[in-house]
Amino acid sequence: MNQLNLSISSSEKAKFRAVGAAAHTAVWIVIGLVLIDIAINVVLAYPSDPKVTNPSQLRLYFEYGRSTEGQLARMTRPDRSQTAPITLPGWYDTLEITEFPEKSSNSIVTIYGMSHAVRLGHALERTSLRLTPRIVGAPGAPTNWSYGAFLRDRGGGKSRAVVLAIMSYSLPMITTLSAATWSFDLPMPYTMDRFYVRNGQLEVVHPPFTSFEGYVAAFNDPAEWSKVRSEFAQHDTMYNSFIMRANMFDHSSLFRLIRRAYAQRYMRAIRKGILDGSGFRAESEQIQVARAIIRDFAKEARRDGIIPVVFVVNNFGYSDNLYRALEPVLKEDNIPYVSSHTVASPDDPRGYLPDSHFTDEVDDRLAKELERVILEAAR
Amino acid sequence: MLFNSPEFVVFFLLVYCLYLGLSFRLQNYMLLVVSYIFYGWWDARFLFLVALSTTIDFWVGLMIENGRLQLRQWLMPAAFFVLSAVIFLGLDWTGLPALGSGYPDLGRLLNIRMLALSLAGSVAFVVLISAVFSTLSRMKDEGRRRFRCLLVSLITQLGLLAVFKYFNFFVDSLSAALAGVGIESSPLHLNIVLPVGISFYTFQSLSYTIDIYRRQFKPTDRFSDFALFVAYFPQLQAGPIERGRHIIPQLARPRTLTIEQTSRGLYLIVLGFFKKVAIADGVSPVVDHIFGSSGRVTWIDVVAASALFAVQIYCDFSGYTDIARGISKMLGINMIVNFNQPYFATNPQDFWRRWHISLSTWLRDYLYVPLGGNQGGLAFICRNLMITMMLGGLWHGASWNFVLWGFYQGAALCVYRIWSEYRGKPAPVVGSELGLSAGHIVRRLLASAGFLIVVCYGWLLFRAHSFAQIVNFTSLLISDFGDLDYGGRAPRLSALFGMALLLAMEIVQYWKADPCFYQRFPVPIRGFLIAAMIAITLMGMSNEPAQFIYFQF
Repeated sequence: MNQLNLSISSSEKAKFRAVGAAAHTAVWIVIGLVLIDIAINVVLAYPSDPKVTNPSQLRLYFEYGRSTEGQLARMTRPDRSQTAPITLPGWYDTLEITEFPEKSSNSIVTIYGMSHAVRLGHALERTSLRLTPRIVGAPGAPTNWSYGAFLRDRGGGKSRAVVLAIMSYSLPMITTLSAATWSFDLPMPYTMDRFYVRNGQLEVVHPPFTSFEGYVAAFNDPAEWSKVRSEFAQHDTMYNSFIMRANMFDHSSLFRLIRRAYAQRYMRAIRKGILDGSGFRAESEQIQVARAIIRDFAKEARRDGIIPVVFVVNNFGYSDNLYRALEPVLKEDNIPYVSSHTVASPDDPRGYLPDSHFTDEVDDRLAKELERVILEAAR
Repeated sequence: MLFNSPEFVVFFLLVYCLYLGLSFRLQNYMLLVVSYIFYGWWDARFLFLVALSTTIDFWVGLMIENGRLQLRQWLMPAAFFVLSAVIFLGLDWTGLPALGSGYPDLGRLLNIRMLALSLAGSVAFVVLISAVFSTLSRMKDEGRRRFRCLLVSLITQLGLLAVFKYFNFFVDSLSAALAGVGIESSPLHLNIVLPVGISFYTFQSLSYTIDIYRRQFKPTDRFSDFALFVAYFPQLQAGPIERGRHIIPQLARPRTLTIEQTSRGLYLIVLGFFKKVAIADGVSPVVDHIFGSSGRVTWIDVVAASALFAVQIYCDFSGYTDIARGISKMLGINMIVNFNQPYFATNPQDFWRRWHISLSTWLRDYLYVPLGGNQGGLAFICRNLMITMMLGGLWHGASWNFVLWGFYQGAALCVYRIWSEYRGKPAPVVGSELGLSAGHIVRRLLASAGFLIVVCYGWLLFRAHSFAQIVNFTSLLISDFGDLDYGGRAPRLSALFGMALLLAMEIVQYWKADPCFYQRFPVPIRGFLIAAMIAITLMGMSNEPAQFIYFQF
């Protein structure tokens, strides 16, 4: 055998050394990532007590990317007194209603919607001498939730006017079945009616459960929960199994960061599919459903002899795009409305608080505008 | 296609796997095709401009050197140009659906009228330019012929810039000037989008013909190599502005891929993403909020916005360059260093030797030196500096605030030049950190910190959206001094962690005077450093991905 064949040339040795050094570094990068992952999980462990809702900014930050099911499992307890507070609001069965002492007979105005609508109700209580607010709200509630709440409540049978809130930020959620599919950073399990526009008519699909107890029963039964997921996948345009399903990667803080980035990208992509540079796309399902809900809401309210009012919330940075998208149906059906862009410019941050709500001053002006619109419609 | 998009990750993995399996010539052809796909992902129509730049300057290079074109040298580019016109202008690319969303609308894609027009127009252009070259080839005086050939390149490249980048700016400025003397006019506007990277590839292509004109470089007669030099995807959209003499020889010979080069390339890619995704995108909302605010702004808001914009633009642009250089290294092609710790500069001259080096050396070689450079009296040198820097400012964008920024940088260079002359001290040389004592380095760091204030004010001029905002913010800096009522947002967590780690890394790099400083670390520490960058980048992935700032230039 040739001696040369047995030896390795010096250049090959150098090559092997280089490959070895690179592999050595790669191994230490992996070890480093694992150590960082463990360190975050240990130092910034999220409290297991569901009642602790705001442990610290850093703990929340590294928790956000946990799967929706993973977060719901941590938050949910069968007992209302032990479960996380965020799991309790928003259920149709039974609706949470805030009432105030009546100011004069036949003056109640029921407002359905998200926190902006709730704040409008409180502003109406502050500013109006004649109108008494009655508030039916849920955190972040999209308009399909609000319309579903209206259909179940119909102004409590004693309202002079009913107000349906619709918001530019949450417009993409109008075709969803549960807040759990889009409130990714802090999932809320409440559900809502899903509306479809078929042959110009509004059709409804009811959610698989409408109460906290129904949710707990379904969530704790794997077979039942699997059916719920299938319904979400079928009817909820924001459902995404990668975001929803719990798996072993929930235990990795770095993987949670990846899932969070994915979820945000996913939400942005859906938003961009509906809203482009020129405004909301009129042909999108969300705008079609929004217009049909508004039309049916007005029809149903008028059938009950109640004044329907639409409250259009134009969020900061969204211009008056939502108002422009809804304007045709508001004008065509002569539906009274209050659009926030007439009171506070959606391009001027001074009208907004850092948490995206309107300032108290703007809320008061909106309430006065609401009073004017209702009194004018009552004439 | 953005580097910081999932599509690019898939794109590069495919390209890299293909690259490893191909022979050297096929590698070049493949790189050329994928470079066009990379650019066309944004807008395929503007690939025609890349093809135009490429064809003209390939011919010009050969015409300057040889005075004539061989049939092969004429035919291939001519066919390429006509084909490009037909494909990029003749087809209606809006007929193509988004990836995976259905079948193309062939009726819209194949617009017969546009196809015929682009075919006829491109053939006519080839005939015209061939006639020009034919006339030039008959010129007896070589010097004049060479110069006129160069003029063809200058007119084409600068013409493209003038039309696509500066036309509206010039007519608006003229209209405003006329209005100033009481003459009202309604200027013509071109309704066109600024083609991404046009300032980069036109300057790169120009450097090739000027170098040949100056006899500093021989032209390549292989068209595919030259086309790849112009369109090479890692640097096509935002540089570095390469030189033909640096890149073309690397394209003309087989590349050897070594594990060291691949490792270094991967490190640069990780570093680039860390700077861009974790830091630049993490501070961008703070900067945008303050510069976009229509409400009350305080002294601390302006200071914070300017300082954070300094961080943003450095991490954004040098991050892009790091990724581009890293990708290129993995392909076995070395690109020039574009940044050398610019915020450690102690004076304006030092800054411009460290910031956007490929542009500053381009301006030095092709503008400052031809203007007279350092020859002549102090006033003459200052004139040259001012012209160079103001045109350099204008290169960044068709807006007066960029000109003002250039003026500011030019003035700073002049002041420093005059001061240096007065003191009789030579300007410090880049890299002179080597061998300095700790005390000396601390003194220099303090000097850098002082000069950073000058730089940050420059970035205020650069970032402001109007002249009125510059005046407003500048007056706030003076009249509102010390008002610490901060109304801005906080940077994202990834940016806070990222800035701390980057600062530590930059100080060590400065101390060691070695961009590969991390290689001196023990392997576990090196591994942990890279792991920390990856972890912070993962944190930054939740930030809204923003386009690279320099794409708009």
